Amino acid sequence: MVAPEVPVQHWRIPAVLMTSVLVAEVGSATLKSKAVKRTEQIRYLRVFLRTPLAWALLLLLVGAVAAEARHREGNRLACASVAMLMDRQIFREKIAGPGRAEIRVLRACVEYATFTTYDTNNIPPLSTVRRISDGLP
Amino acid sequence: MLVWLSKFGFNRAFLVNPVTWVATALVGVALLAANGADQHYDNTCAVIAPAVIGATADDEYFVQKYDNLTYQHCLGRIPQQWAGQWPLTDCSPGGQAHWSNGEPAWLPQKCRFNTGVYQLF
Repeated sequence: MVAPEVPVQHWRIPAVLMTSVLVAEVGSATLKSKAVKRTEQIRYLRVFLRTPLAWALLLLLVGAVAAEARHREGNRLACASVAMLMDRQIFREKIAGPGRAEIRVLRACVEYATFTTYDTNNIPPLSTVRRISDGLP
Repeated sequence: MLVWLSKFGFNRAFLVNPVTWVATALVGVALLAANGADQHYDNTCAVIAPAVIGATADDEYFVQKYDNLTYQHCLGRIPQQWAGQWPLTDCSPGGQAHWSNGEPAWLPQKCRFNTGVYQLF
């Protein structure tokens, strides 16, 4: 007696499922590669921080930043004090035409201190700064 | 020298490490910025000196605490030709205006700012 042949069920995987499986695999691969990259970055950082030379580099970086800050602060204070000095000397009126020496100081002190004594409207690059009191162009 | 450096971690792994490159670049930028700020500070004081010293020729010039302050902030950066000619105050009792080389200066002093130009500030 021959057993009746069981018809083989040919399942067709729907295209949507195929696509989602593919996306999941690609996504997983991307995540893996991201994780690998992150691990590598951490490893590089760890290796870097283990060496004494790295700390010397970081110390140099901090020192350079501190030196720049100190110079900028000194410059700002020098500009502020000379601006106060001049402003107190010439207090009667605004001077329309500052001398050559004053213009050089004004230019060196751009962004560090503002003189109020001198009219800087015609002195580039100081003239680019428009004050509210100048009104609309 | 290289043997000495290798004791502190100077090896191939250190050189090919991207973190080393980034740190070195940052150090370079910071050093350049510090050098630029230093030169700008020198330049500022070099232009401040003739402006302040030239102003003393004015008949109405008076010495005030800001002359001293500016001098202190520019100390060591004033060009040699101006170094001894800076007007300074001595606001201690009986004190007199003097130049930065120590010679007395016959300039009036204004040690207090509760009168005169004070209202402007």
